[in-house]
Amino acid sequence: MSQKSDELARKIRDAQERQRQMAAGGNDGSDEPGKDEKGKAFRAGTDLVAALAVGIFLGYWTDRWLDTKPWGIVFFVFVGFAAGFLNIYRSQTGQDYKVGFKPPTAPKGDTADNKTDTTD
Amino acid sequence: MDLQSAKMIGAALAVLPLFGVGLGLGMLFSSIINAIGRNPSVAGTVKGAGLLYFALIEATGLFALLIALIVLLG
Amino acid sequence: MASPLEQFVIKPLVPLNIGGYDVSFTQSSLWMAFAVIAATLLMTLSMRSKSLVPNRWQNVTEMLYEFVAGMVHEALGHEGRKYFAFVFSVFMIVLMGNMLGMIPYSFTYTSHIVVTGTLALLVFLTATAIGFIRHGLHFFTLFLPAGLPIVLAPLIIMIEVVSYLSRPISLSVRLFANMVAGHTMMKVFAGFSVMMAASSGIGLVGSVLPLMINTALFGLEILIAFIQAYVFAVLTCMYLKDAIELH
Repeated sequence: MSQKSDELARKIRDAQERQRQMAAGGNDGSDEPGKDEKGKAFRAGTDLVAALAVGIFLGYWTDRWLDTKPWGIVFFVFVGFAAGFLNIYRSQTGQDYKVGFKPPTAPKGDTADNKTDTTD
Repeated sequence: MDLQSAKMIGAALAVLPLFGVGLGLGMLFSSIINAIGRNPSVAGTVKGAGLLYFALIEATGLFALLIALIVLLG
Repeated sequence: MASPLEQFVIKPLVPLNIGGYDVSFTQSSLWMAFAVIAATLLMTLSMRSKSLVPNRWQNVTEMLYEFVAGMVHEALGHEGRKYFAFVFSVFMIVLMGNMLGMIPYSFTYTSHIVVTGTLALLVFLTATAIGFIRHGLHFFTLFLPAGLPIVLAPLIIMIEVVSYLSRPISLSVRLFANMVAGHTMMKVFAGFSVMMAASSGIGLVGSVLPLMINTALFGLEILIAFIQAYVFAVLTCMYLKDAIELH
């Protein structure tokens, strides 16, 4: 049993070493976008539209409620657009949907991007 | 033509500027990719500026959407 | 030729009607039950041997566990242990829904906005409730950034609230739209193949082409099925993080 576990430990070390080398070799060039970038691209599309939808919904019901046609929808569409743009801005600068404004902590670029959602 | 169908046609006409928005976004992103491709080290700056102009172009589409909504719901 | 959207029609298997509401056991419910059973079986059976050197099934389970555990730890730190079970359940139900939907003749329950919307609302309400339980009314400072000029406060608070409310919508629409688009696309290409094969002669040879595209699309869809489950779980972590830390 112990011999088997020793062998396993050695194999794990080897595999980790290989993985580190692969990661080091893969990251220095400007190769294809990593997993982070793909995840972001999949996310960014709906964020703007979702916030805009909330804005239009709020504006429409404000108009119905207070009878302020069409100013409620005009106002809330702009608020919704601002919120949606905030969503995109946050996901692109690696702050990931934090509500509340915060300047990016790390300089924009690789460090800020890698910090947030490398989970593998 | 009754009022409801006239409203719908008006709303459809009002979102025609999205053609220009699509064109503008395409040009913006193509030049961003071009710039980063030529000089990857400026990626951060270019992306930051690109995001601002993206918002400006998108605002045009927003005006169109707004007019369409007012025509449709008003 | 059936319409490409016909695959999303919900058919009741056991019609039920309680108090005027239609609560039939549909094929959507059936596949949800399958997903729960499959996830439970995978987790229990594969871990029964608990060997130091894992076999294939145990490896799959450990990979899933470590994937989510790493995600939770990264977002929430040590405190995240409490919420691991929640995030893992959400991840598994979305992953199983997407993956079981890839089996031919099955039904993808994540392709219905009712299902994804309820899941997203559950996540959203849980995060909000945790925020209120941990911070009380102090939770509202989430919408008021520190050091803000008081003149701007009403506008910014409104924007932040809209941004906060847009989360469950964006979360559910993303998953739903990806699933519907992918499955419709595969059905359309499969339809091309059948139509070309039905015509004799050169169509029979040409029908291989859409089939090849469909094979590639199938691989892409499996990738998307996984990525969407991953995105759903990551965003769940992010929302919990906001509610817990309140920066």
